[in-house]
Amino acid sequence: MPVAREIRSEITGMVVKTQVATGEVVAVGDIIAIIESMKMEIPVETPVGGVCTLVVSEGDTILEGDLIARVG
Amino acid sequence: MADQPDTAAPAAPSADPMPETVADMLARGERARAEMGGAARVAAIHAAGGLTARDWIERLLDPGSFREIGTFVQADRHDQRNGTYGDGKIGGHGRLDGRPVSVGADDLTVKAGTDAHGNKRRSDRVFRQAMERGNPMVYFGQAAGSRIPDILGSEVMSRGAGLGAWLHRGRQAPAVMAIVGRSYGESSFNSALSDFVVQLRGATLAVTSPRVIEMATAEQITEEQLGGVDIHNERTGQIDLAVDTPEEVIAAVRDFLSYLPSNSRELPPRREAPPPVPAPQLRSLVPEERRRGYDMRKVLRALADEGQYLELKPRFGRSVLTVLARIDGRPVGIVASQPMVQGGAMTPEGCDKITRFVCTMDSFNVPLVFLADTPGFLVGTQVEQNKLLHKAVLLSQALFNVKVPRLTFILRKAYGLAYFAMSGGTEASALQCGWPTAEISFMDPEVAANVVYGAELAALEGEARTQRGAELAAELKRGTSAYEAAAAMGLDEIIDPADTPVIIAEWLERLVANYDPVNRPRVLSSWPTCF
Repeated sequence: MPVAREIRSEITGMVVKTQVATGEVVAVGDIIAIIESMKMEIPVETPVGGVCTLVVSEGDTILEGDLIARVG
Repeated sequence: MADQPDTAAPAAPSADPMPETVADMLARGERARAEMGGAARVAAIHAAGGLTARDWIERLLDPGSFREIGTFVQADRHDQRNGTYGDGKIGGHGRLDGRPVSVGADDLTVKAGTDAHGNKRRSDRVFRQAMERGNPMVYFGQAAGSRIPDILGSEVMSRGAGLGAWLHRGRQAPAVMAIVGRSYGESSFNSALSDFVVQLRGATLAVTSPRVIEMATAEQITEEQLGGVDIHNERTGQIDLAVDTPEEVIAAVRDFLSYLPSNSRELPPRREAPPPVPAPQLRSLVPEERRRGYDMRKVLRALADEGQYLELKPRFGRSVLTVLARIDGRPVGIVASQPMVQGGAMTPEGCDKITRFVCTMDSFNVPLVFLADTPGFLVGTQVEQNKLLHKAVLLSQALFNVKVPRLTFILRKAYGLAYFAMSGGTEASALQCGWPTAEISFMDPEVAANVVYGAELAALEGEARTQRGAELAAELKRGTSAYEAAAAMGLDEIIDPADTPVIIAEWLERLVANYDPVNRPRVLSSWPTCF
């Protein structure tokens, strides 16, 4: 069984929007969530396609390197 | 002999008698190369999965091209000369991808590769020959420091030459340091004097070892915590690239040097490439929504020739990117804001990163391309205490002294001093272009609205305050557009983003044709290699 790809945050900030729900199928380049940092909204894209398991919720504060989702 | 035909081939060299002196010399050289500091030590390094100094050199150079200098150097102390051929450092000259290059490596099989007077003379000699011949120097560093007790005492110390030949370099030719083991000595110092430093995971780069630190201060720290790749890659910025395997070390060195000329009197080598064509994807990579971040690397990849892209210090000073790339086959140094990190705001670390990059590019005649999307310099106590003032001004000084062809593109935001620090202004670059999304001003409109209309906004509360603030910001933003700048010739042109790679190629063609790499002023060549 292929290992799911972990999507981690490049930055510290707050999850202001989740664009997909757990169980949803995503394609390469789809936006999973939007992180707000330094008054900027940073879209988090998936580099792979597959079934998404979201591990953050809107309003969560996350650190650089924190897990946002698994896709695969 | 009379019965031999006239057309007989000359006798093979092996048929000539070998003088004893030559045979002895060849045997000594062969022993020095094969056994190094002892066959058992070589075997132990290989058994542990490591590479000897000679392995590193062999892996780097074109096959059979290594011509050694100082094969018969031995330890200074006569009582310790047995088995010390090379004295812990290997060096010489060869070819890399067909181009002349000089190499050196710390040899762990002889006195643990420690630094001493004898091997320093050898290393310095090879380095000076490289600079005088005008070819790059590559060194594989893994020496655990100075040789003790040999270097103890005032007589020996006062005979020493300090940091040696690398200290005197003026970027005549590229210098590259690969940290491939425990480096606490001269290799560490020379890394700071290099143009490119790659560190292998598991190797350590520091001034002093944990053992000495513990003896001096009782601090206990591991080598990884002290000078591992993650520390330098993310925190100190004292390396340009972290890699996981020896193959990646070699690939990184080759890749870096492929973008540079052999020396500062030559133009960087251009490769065959299909002529650039408009890249329509550039029209939509930068969001028009000014608060929306994006990954500038996508823009860079769309600009660069396919796969011709080497990012330096990718995990340090991350709100700016410094990248070697090829456009139209021609090496270029790209400095770009990274709006995905801190909105692309400039930091003291980012300034150092750009300053070092600009000095290297200018010294080796690599044209510069700036891509700006920055809201300004980061503000706050932390950055002030990290010397933002000096770092920003140092960068400005460096940019003032750039002589290599330079182009600037304002993609979106370019505010305050950061506008100039990203090479904004028609005085700075040969060509100053704006994308239609460009905004230029002293201060971001949202901040400016609060500064200019602070009293008016303070009198309001809640939603009314937010709404009025947005109205005022929108009013101020109208004065920041690319068209306002272009109206006053503050931009040479507003361009279709898709045409950017074509415009870069056309302009560099013209500018490089009129650029004299030999006689141009060379201020940044003598600037420091580290800040």
